[in-house]
Amino acid sequence: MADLPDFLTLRHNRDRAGIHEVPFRRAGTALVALFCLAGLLNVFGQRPQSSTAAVSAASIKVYAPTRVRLGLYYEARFTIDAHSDVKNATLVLHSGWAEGHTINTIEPSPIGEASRDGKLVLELGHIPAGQTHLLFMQLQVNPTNVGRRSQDVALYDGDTLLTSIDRTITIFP
Amino acid sequence: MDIVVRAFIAFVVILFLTRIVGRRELSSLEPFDLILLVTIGDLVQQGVTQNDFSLTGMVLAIGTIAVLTVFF
Repeated sequence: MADLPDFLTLRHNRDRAGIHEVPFRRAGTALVALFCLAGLLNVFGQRPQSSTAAVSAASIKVYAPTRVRLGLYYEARFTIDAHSDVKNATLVLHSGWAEGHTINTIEPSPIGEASRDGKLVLELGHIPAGQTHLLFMQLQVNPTNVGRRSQDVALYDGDTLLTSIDRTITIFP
Repeated sequence: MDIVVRAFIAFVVILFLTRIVGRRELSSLEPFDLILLVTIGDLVQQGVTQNDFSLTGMVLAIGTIAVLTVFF
């Protein structure tokens, strides 16, 4: 039988003395498990959350995720409850709603769309007192869009600001 | 969070399928089995990641499967 090569020793190569492989592997596994647990707990998205704002004339609720990842489809639901007549309800969305996103559809289609001071303006029209207007936006995050963006929402009656919501979306790479 | 759940379900389904199919040795694989493995991998990917193109999603999916591999 041939001798052992000089660089191999029984103590090191057979008995694995001085090699602390197992603790490192366990620590690595625990680290990965923690990361997955964070994912499970919605740290990296994409569970939707509600944000609301209300004044005497109307209230608005936005139901959409605040954390998403590249490529994901998501829905934003805007619920406007008119407590009194809102003659010309208008939603003004921060450019973060469109920047680096593909807007697949907005339902029901707004009466008019425009830009105001770099923001998206969606004219919804008349909402009678006691009625609710639901607006759905279907979006997809573009694969090059990473970081945090403002997604503020403001509700106007014509040119009069009724209420607004400050939101931020975080897009993970 | 969905991607972790989907990766978990995919892992359990694949584990179940490989156990019921029964062939456990690479030496007994036929060319068709090899093609089937690749095809299954491709189909599983669509179910797990769907439209998620992110690195975060990739790490979550691989991490979930890796952690499950340690325990099963």
